[in-house]
Parts: sequence; structure tokens; C-alpha cells
Amino acid sequence: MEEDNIITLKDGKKYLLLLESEYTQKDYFLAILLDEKEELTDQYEVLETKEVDGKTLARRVKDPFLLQELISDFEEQNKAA
Amino acid sequence: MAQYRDIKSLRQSVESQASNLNRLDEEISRLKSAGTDSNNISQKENKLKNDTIRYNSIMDILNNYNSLIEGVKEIKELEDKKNDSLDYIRCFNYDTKIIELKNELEPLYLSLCNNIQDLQNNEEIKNAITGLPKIVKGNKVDSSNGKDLDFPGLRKVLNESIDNHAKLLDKLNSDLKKYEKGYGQHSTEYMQCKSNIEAEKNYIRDKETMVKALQKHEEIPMDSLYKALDQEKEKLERYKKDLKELSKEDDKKFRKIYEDEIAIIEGNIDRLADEITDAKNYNDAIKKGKNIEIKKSKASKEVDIHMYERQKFLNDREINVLAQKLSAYDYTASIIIGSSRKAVMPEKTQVVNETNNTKTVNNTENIEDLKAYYEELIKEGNLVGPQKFAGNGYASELNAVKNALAANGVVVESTKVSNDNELEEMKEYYQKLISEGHIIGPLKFPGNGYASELKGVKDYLISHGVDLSNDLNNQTIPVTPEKTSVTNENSKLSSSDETTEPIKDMSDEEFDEMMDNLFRFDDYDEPETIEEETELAKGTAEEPETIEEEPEQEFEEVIETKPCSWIKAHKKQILIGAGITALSIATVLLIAQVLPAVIAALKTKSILTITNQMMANGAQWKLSSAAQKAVLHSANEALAAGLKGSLFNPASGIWTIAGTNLTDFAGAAALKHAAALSKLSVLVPGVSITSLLGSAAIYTGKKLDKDRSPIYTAIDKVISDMKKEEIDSLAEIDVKSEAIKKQIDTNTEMTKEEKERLTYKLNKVTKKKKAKLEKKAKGIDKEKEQPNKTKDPLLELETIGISLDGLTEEDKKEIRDIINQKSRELSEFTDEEIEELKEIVDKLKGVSK
Repeated sequence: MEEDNIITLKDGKKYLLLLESEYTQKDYFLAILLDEKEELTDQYEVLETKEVDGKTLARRVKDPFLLQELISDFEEQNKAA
Repeated sequence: MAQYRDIKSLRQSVESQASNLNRLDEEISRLKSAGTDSNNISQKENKLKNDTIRYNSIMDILNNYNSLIEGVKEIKELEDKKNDSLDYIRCFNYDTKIIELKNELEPLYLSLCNNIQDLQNNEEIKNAITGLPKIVKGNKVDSSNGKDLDFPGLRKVLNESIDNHAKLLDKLNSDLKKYEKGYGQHSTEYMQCKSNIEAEKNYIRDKETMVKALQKHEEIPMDSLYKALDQEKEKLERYKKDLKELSKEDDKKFRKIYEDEIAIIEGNIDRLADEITDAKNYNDAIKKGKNIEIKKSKASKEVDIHMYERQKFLNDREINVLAQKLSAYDYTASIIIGSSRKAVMPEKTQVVNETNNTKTVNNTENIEDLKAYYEELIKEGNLVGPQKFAGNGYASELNAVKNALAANGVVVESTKVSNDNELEEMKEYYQKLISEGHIIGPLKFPGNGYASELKGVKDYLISHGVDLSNDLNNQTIPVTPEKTSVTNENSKLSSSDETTEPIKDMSDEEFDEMMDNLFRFDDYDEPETIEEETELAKGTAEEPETIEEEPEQEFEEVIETKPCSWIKAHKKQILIGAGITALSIATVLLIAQVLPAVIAALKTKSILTITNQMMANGAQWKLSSAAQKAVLHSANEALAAGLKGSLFNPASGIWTIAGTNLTDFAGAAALKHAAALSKLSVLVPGVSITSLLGSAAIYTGKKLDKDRSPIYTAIDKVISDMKKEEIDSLAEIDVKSEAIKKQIDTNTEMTKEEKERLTYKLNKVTKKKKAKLEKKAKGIDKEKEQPNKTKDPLLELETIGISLDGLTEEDKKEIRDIINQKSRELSEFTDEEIEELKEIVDKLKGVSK
């Protein structure tokens, strides 16, 4: 999984991955939710991803303190871009 | 597609095309009615079809031009409105709309410049479109191609307001010196004045933030607006209720005042609602249409009684009656006279304003009132408290009234203080205070409610030789004025199992009162540091109840991954900017909501000593402020400044987060731990409490300074560059990776965490690069598998048998436009569409020949 990928989760939700970050040996993506037609919505999420037995798994990050840390990293990346 | 010299020639072309189409249409009808050969008709129909496509594309240009002109007109109108407006919020909104319009119109303008030659020479349109700064990413403004925005009226309004409050601040500073000299640093007057100064500073800071937001085109902080609206609504509700409940006598006297006040409040509510709508619209626009729900802060329990115009109607006593009524509803009332705030203790009223009081007393018309009031107080069983604590509750109020009367030559004989049973009365009063569950708080601030009154009464009795050793039950805390509240809190908790009335049975109100007293500090600028770990910090507090933790959100399988070819770099940049802003705001608000609960939970579980210390002395207030900064570090400055006031009030030394007093959570750790934890799980569903507490512990306690070392940033950049770099061999990847790895390993400036993070990043990039290269080598590179959308569609036409030989560049451009209009890959075209395309190409070839 990498930036500029569209991923589909098992629950049917689709996300466009905008930026990648790593923190404490875990992978995270700044992602925007897409609708059924793969149009952009206004809902942003940070997704944590991992590989288990060859499968890619993802979940939404809800911990505000962790989010704060990741947002800061995304911000830095965006500034540097 | 052909270019047109000017709009006139475009219009002529449209007209001529339209008349051709009409002619053709008529001809077809005629042929049909004449029963002509169907082949001939079909040919004509095809021609009509193709000409219609051509006509439509020209019409599109004309329509776009008309939209551009409309937009330019709208921009001008908005600029006129902006220039006429004195309302700064509206100025913001006008400018935002102008910028949005400009951003919308710019691509249209640029595209039309390709179609209409003289458009780029039209200075009027050009200036309207390109003469303003545009939002290029997120909420940032790129003013490189435009001048700074001008906000007529706004600076005037804000600067006037700042100037006025700066003057008031000067006056308050001078008052503070007087109070310090006259009453001392521990006097109520001094403390209140200091509180007023802080309030004024906050006000000025808010306005300055607005100016800053205005200059930077950042978001307007909404919290103060919401808070103000909440307060006004609460006030309205209370006033209306009070009005209904006025006694007959009071009704005569107060009805008009109440009605006037209600009208003012309703006006304020309308004004604030408008302001909020405008600010919200502005912020939404700034956020590029991203809707962030900014939750209202929890209803505040503070009520301001604005007395700007009321002084002529109300004397001090009447003000106190009002305050009393409010306090009866458990509101902390603040009386604002002019712009000066006077805090009124929730449990009691107090003499409001020294100056006003003197004025009232000097007015002989009020002497009778004052005497009556004095009698009323006596009748209610109030006592004159020790003089030392003038200003405390009824007792000292009675004393103040007595003194005021005496200053006017009225000697009141019938005070209970002067009777023979004074000591007995005092003892009774002492017992009464004890039985009501009051304790003696820190004594740095004599003047705070019952706690210090109790202390005063106790001292008074002791100084009169009364032995209280037998009366001192465990609820009274040994008086140790020089100690901080840690001692008191500690004593309270450690002795809780010996108390006749355990703390558990204390009402919330009593507990809050106690906490209010415990957490007031006069000298927060020069904090003491408590090194020794308290009992509470060691975890001797009541064991937390078992809480069922909400499980962390489960991972879900990613069932499909595909590259997104349509996202363009510029658009992505905007999305990232908007996403960061949206998430920052939502996160800060969430943190603001959960922080009290987190701290409460942390405190009880003794995970972090910082939380105990934070609430224990001035050093912790400082630390809290830093933690708060850490929490807010990602939000923009304006938002941070907007939240700051509501997070921590240095004057009172009390945290109010999202409208909730920190002491409600943190101070009541032992008792309210379960409630705090359950609140956490409600506030942040899908996150385990343990995880939340863990990360909170990290971010509130340790990671106050999260600046990366310069070498970290540099190496991070090298890794990012490597990620983007085209590397053709595995060996080269290894070489590069090794070199970077060496840099990381040998560096001595970076922290372990930084090194680990970089190593992880490097490994990941290396792995990905290699995998990509291997795939490429195997010839299964996805890019090769999938048609490249950015490829010129004309090249693909050849592959499906449509030759473009003989077409002019103009014709090719037309074909390209027709294909692009479909927004699909050529391979996705239907057979009919391909056929149509073929016909158009053939047609154009015919025309060209």
C-alpha cells in the first residue's frame, strides 16, 4: 500500500491514501474517504495499516493524542513538499 | 478548435453556425416531406449531427465567456460591498467569496484565453481575476501574485477596541498597586483586581488574535463566540425565571430592570448568533468547504451581570440581591461594572465595589436602606466575622454594613458581636460551619468563602482562649498557611477513613467548593516545586472501580488496492492541506474534551506524577500550560490562542476545559474515577482507555518539546528523496540504503527514537523500491498493464483503426477535446461512440481537403 492508492476495506469503505507516515514502527496514512462512485468526500481519516499473513489490514486511528502526533508529521511532510 | 480574434467574431461564428444548422434542419424536413432517397437524408442528418457537435463546442466557449463576465461583475459588487462595510466579519466573508470566485474563474479565464485572442489584453477582466491573492493550499494564502487584502473599517474597530481595553488595563494596573499598598497582596481587592487584569489581557489577546487571523486569512477562533453565546443564553434563561419568581414587592422595583436587561441580552444573543454564522461561514470557506462541526463548549456556570448602564438603578445591595439569586442556582456570578469584573462567591454575596459602596453609603437616602438591611442580616442570624477577614460572606458583609453605617455617623448598638454571648455564638457558628462539612483550605487567600471564614472563626476563638482541641474533628485540616494545597489534599485523602463523615459522602457541590479553595494560587509566576511524591501520587488513593474498557477498533482487511491515476499533484496538495486542517481542529476539540477525564484517570491510577503536581502547586500550572501547548501544537496559532483562555485562567489558577472545571475531574479522582473513565469511553469510542491513557501520559507529560533534531530532518529528507528517485538497479538501491543507514547509525545527535524511526522508514522505502524494481524486471509493472490516462488519446486512435493523416493541428485538437470531454479512456468508448468519432474524423478530413 502506498500513497495515491485507492483502497477498499472489507466494510466497503474506500479511501484515497494521500500521505504516509511511520510512527513507533507502525504505518499510517492520511486518507480521504471516497463515496461509492469513488468521488471525494469531505471526511478525512488517519489509517493505521499492517501486514499479517500476507494480508493488508487497516483501521481508523481514533486516539486524539496519537492523531495529534501524526498530523504534525503530515504537516511537516506537506510543508516540505 | 479555432481561435477567435475577439468575442465579436466568436458571436458571429455562433450566429452563422446556428443559421447553418437551421438551414440544414429545414432542408432535411423538406427532403423528408418530398420523399427523397433515404441515403441522402441520412447523409444530411449525419452532417447535422456533426455540425451540432461543433456548434455546441462553440456555444460552450460563449457560455463560459458569459459566466466569466458574470463572475467579474460579481467580484466587483463584492468589492464595493466590502469597501462599504464596517463589519469586520463581513469583510472577511466578502474577501473569502471574492477569493473563491477568483479561484473558480481563473482556470476558466485561462482556458478562454486560448479561444479568444484579445481576452488576455482585456485589463479589466485580467485585473479582476488575477489581482487578488488566491488560496493555494488548505487555509494558506499565497499573496505572491497579489496585494495584501485590505479590510476597511475592520482595523479601526479592532484597534479602537484594543486601545480602550489597553487604557482600562493601565487603570487596573494602577489600581493593583494601590490595592497592594492599601490592602496587601492577599486581600480580596488585590486578587480581584489581578483577576480583572488577566481578563482584560485575555480580551486584548482575543482581539489581537482576530487581527492576526485577518492578516493571515486564518480561521477565526470560535470558542469565545460560542462561550459568549452560551453565557448570554443562560443569563436570559435565569433572568426570565427570576422575573417570574419575583415577589410582589420586588416585582415593583425590579421588573423594569429585569425587562431592560432581558431586552439587552436578547439583542446580544441575536448579534452573537449573526457573528457566529458569519464566522462559521468564513471558517468553512477557509477550510475549503470542509465541514467541521465545532461543538459548543459545555454550558458554563458563570454568569455576568452587566452593570454598564445599571448603576443608576441599582445600589450595591440590590446588586448583591441579584447575585444572591444567581448563586442560589449554583451560578458563579460576576458583576461587571463598567468593564471591571468583580467576582462574587457562589455561596455568598459580598460587598461589590469599594468605591460604589462608599458612594452608596454617603448617599443619605440610602442610610435607611442600609440600616434596614443590617437589621435583616442580624435577624437572619448572621454574625460579624473577624475583622481580619473583611469581605467574607454574610459575616463580613454584616461587618461592612456596620462599618459603613458607622462611617456615616450611625452607630448600631444591637450587634450580636458585641453582646456578652459573643464567644458562645462564635462557638456555635464554628460548630455550624463544621457540621456543614466545611474545611479549612489553603490560607494564602483569606477571603474565599466558608473555608477561610472557618479559619477566621477558629483563630478568633483560640485567641479568646477557647480550647478547640476536643472540637477539632478530622474534617478540619490543620492550618498550615505556608504549605501548599498538596498537604491539605493529602491530609484529606489519607485521613478519609477516619472521618466521621467520609469524603465519599460529600456532595458534589461541597467537593467543588473544597477544590476551588484548594486550587487557588496567588503566585503562579514564581511557582514552588514539589519534589516529594505525594501519597496520592504513590497510588494510595481509593482503588479505581473496574471499568469495562471499550475494545480498540478492530483492523479490517484491505480487499482491494489500486492506483489512483486521476489525482493531480495540485489537487492532492489542496486535499492534504484541508485534511490536516480538518483533522487538527477536530482533534484539538476532542482533546479539549477528553483531557480533564484523562487527567482525572491518570491521577487516580497514579500513572503520571505530573498530573498530581500539576494540580498541586504553581509549577504544575506552568507545566499544564506547556502540556496544553503540546496538545495544541498542530492547530493553527489563532485556534490555539482562542482556546487558551478557556483552558487555563492564570488569575484564578483554575483550568476550565471545554467548559468543565478541571477540578471536577482531577480533584475528585478517588471518587469520580469511574465516572471519568466512562466519560472517556463515551468521548472517544473505539479507543481503549488503557491506550488513551498511555498516549496521554506520553503527550501530556513527556513530549512537551517535540522538535526534531536538524540531522533527523535532513536524513528524513534524503529518505523521502530516495523514495521518489528513479533507481534502475537493486545494487544501487542497496548502496544508497547502506549509505543512509551508516549516517543514521553513526550520528550522535539524534535520539534513539529518532534513529529507530528513520531506520524503519529507510527499510520500508528500500523494500518498496526493490519490490517495484523486481516487478518491473518481470514485466508486470502495473504501469505497463494499465493504460496511461495521461497518454495522448490521439495516439490510441491509430490503434483502433482511425487514421489521423491529413488532419490539421486544429482538427486534431478538436478531436482530442471531444475525447477528453467524455472523461473516459478510449478503450472504454462504446462502439457507437467510436463510430461517431470515426465519422467526425472523416468529416474533418473532408473539410480539410
